[in-house]
Amino acid sequence: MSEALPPPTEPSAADRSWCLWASVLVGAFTLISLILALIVLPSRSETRFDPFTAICRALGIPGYAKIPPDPGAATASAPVSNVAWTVETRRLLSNASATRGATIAKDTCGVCHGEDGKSVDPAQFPNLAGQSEAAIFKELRDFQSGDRKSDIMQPIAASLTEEQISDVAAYFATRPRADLRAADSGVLLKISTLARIGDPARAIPSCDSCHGLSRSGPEAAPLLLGQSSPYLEQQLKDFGTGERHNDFFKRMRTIAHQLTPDEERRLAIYYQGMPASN
Amino acid sequence: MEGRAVTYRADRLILAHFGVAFATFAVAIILGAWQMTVRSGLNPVFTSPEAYFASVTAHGTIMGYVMPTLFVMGFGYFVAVTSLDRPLPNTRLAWIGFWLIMAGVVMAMAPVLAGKATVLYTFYPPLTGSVFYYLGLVLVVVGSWFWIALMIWAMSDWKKDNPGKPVPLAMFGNVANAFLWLWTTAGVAAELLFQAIPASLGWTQTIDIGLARTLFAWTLHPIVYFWLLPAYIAFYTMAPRAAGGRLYSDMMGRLSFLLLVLYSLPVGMHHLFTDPEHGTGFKFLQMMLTALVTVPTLLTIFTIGASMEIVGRLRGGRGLFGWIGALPWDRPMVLATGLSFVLLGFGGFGGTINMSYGMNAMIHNTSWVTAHFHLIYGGSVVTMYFAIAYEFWPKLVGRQPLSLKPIRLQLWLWAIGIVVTTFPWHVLGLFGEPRRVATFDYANPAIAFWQPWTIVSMIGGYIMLAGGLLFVWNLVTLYRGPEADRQMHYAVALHPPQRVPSALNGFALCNWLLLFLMLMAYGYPIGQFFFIKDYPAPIHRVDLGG
Repeated sequence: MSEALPPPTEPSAADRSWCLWASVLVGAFTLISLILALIVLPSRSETRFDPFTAICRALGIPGYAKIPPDPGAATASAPVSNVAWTVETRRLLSNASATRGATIAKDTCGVCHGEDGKSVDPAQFPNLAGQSEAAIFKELRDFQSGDRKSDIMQPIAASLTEEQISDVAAYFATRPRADLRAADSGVLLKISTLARIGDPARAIPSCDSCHGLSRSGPEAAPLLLGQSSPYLEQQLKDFGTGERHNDFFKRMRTIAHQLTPDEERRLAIYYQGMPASN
Repeated sequence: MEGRAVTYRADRLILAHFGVAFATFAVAIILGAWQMTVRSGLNPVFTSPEAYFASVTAHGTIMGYVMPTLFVMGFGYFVAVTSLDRPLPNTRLAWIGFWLIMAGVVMAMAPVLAGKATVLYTFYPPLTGSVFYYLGLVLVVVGSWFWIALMIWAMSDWKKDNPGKPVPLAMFGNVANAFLWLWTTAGVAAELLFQAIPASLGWTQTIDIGLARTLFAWTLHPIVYFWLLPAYIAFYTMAPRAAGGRLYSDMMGRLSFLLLVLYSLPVGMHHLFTDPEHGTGFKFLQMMLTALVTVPTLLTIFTIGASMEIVGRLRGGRGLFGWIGALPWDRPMVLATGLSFVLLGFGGFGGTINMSYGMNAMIHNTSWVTAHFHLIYGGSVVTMYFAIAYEFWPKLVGRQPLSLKPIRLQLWLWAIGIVVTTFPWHVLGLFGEPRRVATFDYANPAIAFWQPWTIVSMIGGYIMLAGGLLFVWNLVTLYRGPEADRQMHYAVALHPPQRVPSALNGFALCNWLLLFLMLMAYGYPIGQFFFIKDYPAPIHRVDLGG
């Protein structure tokens, strides 16, 4: 390799032909692929050759996809809840004012749920202090639309606007909750296992995965810790019988109808909780 | 050709990169074995879904971003110094890049270990974790950009001083990888800077998942070729010499490196075949382009096969396959190349199924995919990282290994472990076992038969763990070995090139063609998000619970 190299020259003919042929090959391959992808394959099942429609379909431009309508769509059952977690809903919640909500809470909710969210009769009226904003919002909207039945709550919710509902949800979410932990020493191990891990054999997921402190489930799943056990037990029974039915995808109805009355009672005790310092 | 010593004050820099790369690797393989145990249903200690996904995030972040990036950088500095026989253009910049990455690694791993960034290394928006995780990864990427600049700078300086001469093949491959990485990181950098970081800072309430997934796919495929290129460079420039022969064709090497850059990038949408945000047209185009990746792979298998056949026949091998047995398999580089080729064959076969638009639906989101990329990454890539480390480390520290036996044992353990881990995993994927799932209810009769396969797979994981830890041990014992020659010799081509066309001696044409292909492949798919009405998803924070 010690032999001297010829001096460098201008771009040679070899260089130019490399550039040319590399570009032609790459370009031709791309072009053929694009013709196949955008015209030939999308129009394969068509009776009439129509390149424009084929390209639109291949690009996924709306209106050109020939998807037959879902025959079940027309007869689908009415929604179980009219709340949708759209960007608008979230914007409404993030713009909510706890200060405005406090006034409504005082005038309207306080009589039963307590002005600070600590219920006057927790067995009947749930505690709202520290409850998640999304949960309060969803339940009020469901009472409003009748998707959740209550003779007391329906007229009250109906009198509120969407903004007022989000304000009041924001207010109660900021109220301090009682310092509690789950009553794991008060129930059988299988009950706390059900709450924390679930029962795969019955396809019951853990309650905590949606209702626990570090929950990752549906946005509007309420926090359970600190509600009174009679109230929780009644809700489980109502879901089990279908009396209460404002759960998306029948999630709670599917779970609750598999629980035994004993499990319902003990789970309610577990989530009523006990002082955290205990 | 004379050898080049690893001096020019680059040895400490390279050792720092390799050292951190393999230290984090050791942590990640322990996590990997534990994850296999969790999935097997044997309920090891600390089992919980949270711990599992935090572990998967740490394992993926190390194996995907930290270890290979540092390894490739150290490898690049070594090749630049030894093949060009000159110091790096600026060693201080190289150290700045290294320390940026160190800061990034600490910043990214802390929230992962604290359970505040359990988003897996592929991010999965709308999952959103701690901002420090994303910022740390940005620092890792930015640190690696220093390396890109230094590699390109080193090559262009050398070309200025050696007009008309072909760039040494090892360096050519290395700069190919630098350009590849520059193109590759653009996608993920855009996703992090414009989507993930604003979301994690709470500046936005929603995230456009379709766009995020497209930008990530831009990165997700070529990143594998970035990991793979050092292995290919070793095939061409180290393995033939280690076997005692010459490289069959220098030009095939150059062509393969260029084609790997060209056809690793405009293909990422084959990761989105079942995603709804794109029409079929560009998915099909990218599938066609993906298929071309087989070309440089087959060129390489042909060229290295031919190089090795010459050696085998010179050593007395006869008949159609007799030369294979005659090769010096006791040498780590030769053994690793053989193992890597076999595993690349299986991995490549699985890959052609992943990239086929029709067949992809059969294995989408199953364990098959996980098996495929572990087979390619662990089997083909990391096996060669081991061989490269065994080649470079003695030259960096001036010590020889005490014995080749533990080195061969290590390579075999790793390769067997990879096969035992990933083959059952492929089978499970065909049975429909989903990936990214922590635990299965094997009491369910419908899936009970998965468990034995998973347990076999887990045993493979522990064989790999043993192989990985033996690797670290082999490096440690090296320091007790006898003095060694510090000269690095690369394989010489059968017909050493005197002059090569500029298309094969630089990257201008390659970059122009790549720009064209990227515009064709991603122009509309990314552009559509800015004019078609889409539905951004609400952000889901994983770091605010509890």
